[in-house]
Amino acid sequence: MIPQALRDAFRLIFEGDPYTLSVIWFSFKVAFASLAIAVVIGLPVGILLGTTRFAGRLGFLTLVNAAMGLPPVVAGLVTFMVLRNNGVLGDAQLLFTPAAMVLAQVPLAAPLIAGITMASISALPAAIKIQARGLGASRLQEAKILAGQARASLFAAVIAGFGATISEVGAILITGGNLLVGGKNYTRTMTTAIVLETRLGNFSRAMAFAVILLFAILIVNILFTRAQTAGRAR
Amino acid sequence: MSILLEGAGLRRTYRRTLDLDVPRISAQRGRVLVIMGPSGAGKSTLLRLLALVEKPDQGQILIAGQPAKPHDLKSRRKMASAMQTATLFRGTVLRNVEWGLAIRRVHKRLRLIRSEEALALVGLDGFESRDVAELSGGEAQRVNLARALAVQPEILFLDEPLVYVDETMRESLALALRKFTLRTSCATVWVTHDRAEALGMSDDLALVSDGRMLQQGETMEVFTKPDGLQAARLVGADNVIAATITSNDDGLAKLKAGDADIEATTDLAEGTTVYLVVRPEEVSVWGAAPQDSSPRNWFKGVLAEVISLGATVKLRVDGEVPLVALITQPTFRELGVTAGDPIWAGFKATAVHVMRRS
Repeated sequence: MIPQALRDAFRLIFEGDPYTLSVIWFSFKVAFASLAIAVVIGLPVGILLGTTRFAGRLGFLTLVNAAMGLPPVVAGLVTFMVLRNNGVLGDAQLLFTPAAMVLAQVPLAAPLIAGITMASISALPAAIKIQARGLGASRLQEAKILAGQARASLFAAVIAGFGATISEVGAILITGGNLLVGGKNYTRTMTTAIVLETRLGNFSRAMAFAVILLFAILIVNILFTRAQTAGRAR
Repeated sequence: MSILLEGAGLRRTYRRTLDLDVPRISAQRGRVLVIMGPSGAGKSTLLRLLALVEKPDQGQILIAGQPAKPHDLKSRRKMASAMQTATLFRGTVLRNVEWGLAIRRVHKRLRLIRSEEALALVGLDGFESRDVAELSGGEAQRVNLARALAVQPEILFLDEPLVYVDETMRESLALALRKFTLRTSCATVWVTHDRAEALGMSDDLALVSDGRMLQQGETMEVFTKPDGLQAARLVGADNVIAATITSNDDGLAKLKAGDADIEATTDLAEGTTVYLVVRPEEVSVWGAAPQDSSPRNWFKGVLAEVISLGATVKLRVDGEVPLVALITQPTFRELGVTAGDPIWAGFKATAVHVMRRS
C-alpha cells in the first residue's frame, strides 16, 4: 500500500498533474495566509502578555490558553454560522471561499502563537528586563530586546502555527466546502482532498496526497529550522 | 558640592514586611557614592529604586531637585546601570555596548566611537566583533560595565561591578571607573559588600543593613566614626568596648571598662555610658610590657588567635580588655610570638572613636 502510494505521489508530482499541483499550491496559500494573519495578531499579544503586568492579564491569559485547545470543527462551525446568508456577515458572501477558510483558521493558530510567545518570554531571566530598563529602554525597546532574546522560541511559535494551519481539516472543510469550480480547484486543500478521496474509495490517491502533505510539511520545517538557528554560534 | 540624585522617604514592602526603609540618600556630581552592606541588606533593591527601574511603595527620587518617576523616560535616559548579573544580549560585544546609545538614537558613527572608548576603558579593546557567548565570566562583566559607560550618563549605577573580574584587573578597572566619574563629572552610585573596595573607591559612603540606612557621610568620616554598633561592625572596627566616662578634663576623658582604665578624647560629660570604637590597625602590640608610656591605653593579655590575611596578620588578644590588632607580616615576624604567648596590646587616646550608648 505505502510503496504504491509513494510511487503514485511521485508520479503525480513529476508528471505535473495539474489537479494535484493546484491542490498542493492552494493548501500552502491558505495555510500561509492564515499563518501570516495569526502571526500579526499572536506575536504582539504574546509579547504584551509576556512583558507587561496589567489588570485583567490573568483572565486574558486563561482565555488564550483555553483557545489553544479550540476544536477546529467548532471554529469552522462558528465561522460558518457568521458567514452564511442570514449570518452576521452574510452580506459579504464569503462562505465557501478561500477567505472563509482563512477566517476560520486564524482563531486556531493565533492563540497557539500568542501562548507559546508569552511562555517563552516569561521564561527569560528577569535580569534581562531589569538591565534593559536600567540602560534607559522604553517599553517598546524593552519588548523588542526581550523578543530578540527569545528568538528561537518565537520561531517555534510560528512553526507550531504553521503546523496547525497546514494540517487542519475540520474548519476548512465546513467553511471552504472542498469545491472544484468548473473542473478547477477552488477550495480544495490536501487535507480536504484526503477526506474526499478516502470517502470515494480512492485510497491510493488519498495515500498519495498524505505522502505529499508529509513531505511538504517536512520541507517547510527544514526551512523554518534553518531560519531559527541562523546567526548562532553553534 | 551639588547633589544630583536624591532619594527621599524611600520605602518598599515585600510580602507585607517592610524590606527597605531609607529616609534619605544622595549622590553628587563627580563623586562616587558607595552603598555598602552585607548580602541581602537591600543594596540592590535600593539601587533599582534609585535607577528608576522599580517603583518604591513610598517616597520619591529627585534628579537635580526635580521629582523623577520610572515611567519618565527622559529622566531614565540620564542614567545607565550595570546590574550585578552581567546579562548580555545575544550577539556581538559591539551590539551590546552600543545598545544604550542605539535606543537613544545616537548616530551610528558616534555609537562606534563611544563603544570603542568604553571597551578600551575596561581593557577589552578589539573585542568588538566577538560573540558574547564566547566570553569568560570576567570579560562578560566588563562588557556589562562598558555598556553602561558608553552611554556617558549623568548618573552611573554599578552593582558589584568587580565581583567576577580577575584579581589582577580589579585595581586598574576600579581606577578607570573613578577617573571616568571625574572626567565626565557624573554621579556614580556603586554597590558593594566588599569593605576594601568601598574604602578604596568611594568619596561618600552609605551603610545599609537589613534594609535600613545606618549612616551616610564622607567615607573617611564613616570609617573612623561609625554611628552605632552595626555601622562599626560593617566598617570593620573590630574593637568595640563598653565603658563609662569617669571624668572629662577639657576633652581628655578618663573611662572605666570593667576594671580597666582607658583614656580617650571626647566632649561627652562625666557619667555618660559609651562605646569605644578602635580600628584594628590602630592597635599596637608588644612582646613585653612597653617602656614608653604613650600610648597610655595598654593591657596585658594572651595571644588567642593569629589570622593570616596575606600581607597583614590579625591578632586576637584576650585579656582585661580583649582587642583585635591588624599588623604587617614583617612586624609579626619581628614580634616572634605564637598563639598562647603573653602579649601586650594598646592604642592611643586619639585613636578612639567615642560613641554614646543608647
